[in-house]
Amino acid sequence: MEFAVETHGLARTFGATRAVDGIDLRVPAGSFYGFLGPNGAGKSTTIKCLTGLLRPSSGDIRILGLDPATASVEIKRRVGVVPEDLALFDRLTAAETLSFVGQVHGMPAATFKPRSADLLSLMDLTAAATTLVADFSHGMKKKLSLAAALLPAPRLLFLDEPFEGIDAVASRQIKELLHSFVARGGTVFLTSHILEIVERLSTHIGVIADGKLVAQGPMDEVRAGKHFTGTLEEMFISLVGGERAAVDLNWL
Amino acid sequence: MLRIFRAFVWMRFRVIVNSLERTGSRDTIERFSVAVEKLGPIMALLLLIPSTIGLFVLGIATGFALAQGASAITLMIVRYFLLLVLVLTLVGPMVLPLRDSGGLVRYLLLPISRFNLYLAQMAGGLADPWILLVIPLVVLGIPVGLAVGLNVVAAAIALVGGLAFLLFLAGVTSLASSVIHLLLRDRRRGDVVMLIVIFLLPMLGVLPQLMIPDTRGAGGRRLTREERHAQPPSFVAHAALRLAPYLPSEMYRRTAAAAVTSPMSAAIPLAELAGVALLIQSAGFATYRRVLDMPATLGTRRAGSLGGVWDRVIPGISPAASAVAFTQVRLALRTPRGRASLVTPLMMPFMLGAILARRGSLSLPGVEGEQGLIVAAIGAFTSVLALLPIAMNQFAIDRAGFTRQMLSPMSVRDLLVGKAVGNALVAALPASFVFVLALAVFHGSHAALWLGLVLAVVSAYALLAPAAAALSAIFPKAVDMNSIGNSSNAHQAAGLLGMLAFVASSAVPLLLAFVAVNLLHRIDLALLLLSGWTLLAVGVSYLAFIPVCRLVASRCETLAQYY
Repeated sequence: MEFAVETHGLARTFGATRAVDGIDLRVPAGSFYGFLGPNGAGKSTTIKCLTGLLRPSSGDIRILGLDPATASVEIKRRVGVVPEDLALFDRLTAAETLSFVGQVHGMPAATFKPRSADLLSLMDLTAAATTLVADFSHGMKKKLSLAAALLPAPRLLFLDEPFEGIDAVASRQIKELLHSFVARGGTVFLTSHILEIVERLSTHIGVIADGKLVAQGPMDEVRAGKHFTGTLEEMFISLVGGERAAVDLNWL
Repeated sequence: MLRIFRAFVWMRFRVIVNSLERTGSRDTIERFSVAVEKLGPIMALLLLIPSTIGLFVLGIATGFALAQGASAITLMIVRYFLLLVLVLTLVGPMVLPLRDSGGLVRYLLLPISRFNLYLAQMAGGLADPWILLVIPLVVLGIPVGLAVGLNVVAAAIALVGGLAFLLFLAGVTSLASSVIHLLLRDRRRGDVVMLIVIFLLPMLGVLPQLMIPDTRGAGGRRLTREERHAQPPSFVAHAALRLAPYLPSEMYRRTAAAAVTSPMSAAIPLAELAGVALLIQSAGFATYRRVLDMPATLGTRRAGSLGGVWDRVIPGISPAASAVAFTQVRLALRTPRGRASLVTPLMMPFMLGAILARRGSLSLPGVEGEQGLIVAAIGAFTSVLALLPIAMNQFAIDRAGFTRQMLSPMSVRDLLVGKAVGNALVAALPASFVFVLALAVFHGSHAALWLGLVLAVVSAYALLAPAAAALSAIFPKAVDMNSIGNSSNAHQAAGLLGMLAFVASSAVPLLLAFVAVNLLHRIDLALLLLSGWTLLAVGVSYLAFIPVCRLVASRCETLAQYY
């Protein structure tokens, strides 16, 4: 099987804290991979390591068969990212942001201009094309960041919480877009706290807790392996050990 | 009420303490950088102690001399100091970040009355160093001095006057902060207001020049001291003299002086001062209430396009570097700090023109009669100098966009070349304007010298660019580019070392030109020497970028965390 993302013993430490603790990810090419974990489990640190924003403390990474240590520019050419903080220039407009992305990918204006127009239209940002990003709402920024990730037609998408703060209409459009992207052979690596979305979209899942990968594989296989017939939310809580007794705030 | 004040004091204290305890330090360089950054405030705090003692002693000396009926020279010092405080109180809110703008919404959710919120905000203004320094002088020093001189009634009047003056200053600070908040609340209007402020601030630098009487008489002869004293004051000086009695600092001085001779006669200036203070406080509270009615910012800013100019690739560099360069220019021109870097050199010809109009000439040794060249040289080097706050912290302007660049398919060299070219374009805009204007107005006589000036600036910038990239990577600082004051400056160490690099890189070509023109009297040789030096500087710059690229690559992770 061909893997879009493959890691061996990937680890990242911050001082004494081991944020990612030797995980072995296998993301098949052409899959929709949902990467789940509670807050502080190491999801964003993993994505940062995979996208080159953080250097791993140890372990190997292969992205689309390439080694980030020696082919980082080539990998970035084929990968789109919606990072946690969205990574947008606040004093550029939406159109200028997409123009910047097109230019750094070496695309001629004749290519990136129509693509930008399509993406702005899809994200319902055409009217805001000349507005500074600083004046955007959080949802608008998220849609622009997604448009920037899609503009160079990548083969692999890393999406860190892409549906957070997005309205229902746009959310539906984006889901359809991602479906067709995967149908055409693209790979999506997505983190989200909205488990219904992950359950509906993902073909594969990986679950991380305390920096360790506790489950991974095709959705059905993970369910079968854990002998689970309930919802993804129930399976997730069971996997990360989140069953806690409710605290009674009797003073409230 | 007291509980609320205690909570506010505790919150401000924790904010200061927490800012000193930076968490998430990544490496030794960052820890060093943070430690150096903290040196400035510590030094300022240390300087505040002797200043406070000095002003207290000055106040006692003044009060004692007044009580003894002696003509106190110290009173003149106090007078000008209070005038300076008045100016700083007015200018301070313009160059400092907006006070409390972020916390207003949170405060409104708390069960605190608006008046108490106003009192807390106004009390915060007393922490401004220039206002803090007034306390040992007028609230403590002068009344104590008068009391020591056994004039207790005058001491009491001076104390009331001092408190009224302090109330006035705190009111002005609060009012100015609220007015600025209201002006900037609409983002588009805010941009226009900041642009006007940026234009006006350099003009303040010309004011003293306009107030100094003309030192030259007919035929350019330098006037004697007696002749200068006999001259009538200039229009600006005349207007300032007419305005002076209405200044609260003067009202305070008159109160303190009159209290000694006749307490009753001190009642008028004291009443005036108290009245002005109450008026300002009322206006401050009314304006603050308006801010509280709608604390959020409004409106959206749009940016026009320049046709397809931005979509082109700058010749000689990669498309990625070109995109970074154009982005750097756009970001700089869309922030008040960036605009200040652009406007300050643009004001140079007018400021120098004002000096020229008053002094009759502008000359430097070796290039007498070349006034245009001097204006162009000062304008061009000032353009590079004005760029330093941005160039020495060149990744800060990207903010979250820095991460976008890290995710983009480009090498660190592309990033640094793009930054260097972008910064060069920002400096080139005002420099070219001043150069062309000076050439058009003064008609330069030696083409070689004008060409030499271009080479001198290019060579200076070529050497400065790798130093700027390295210092930006070693000493990163998250800045507020909406401010034109200290909060938008580069890291103190980067600023200092950058200034040294600027002086060193500018000194060599200027020295070469001086040697050729002044000592060897060969203007053509100056051009030859500067051409050779520029070639060498560009070569050194190219080589210097190799280790700087490695340095920045090793620091990218930390920089991405920073912004």
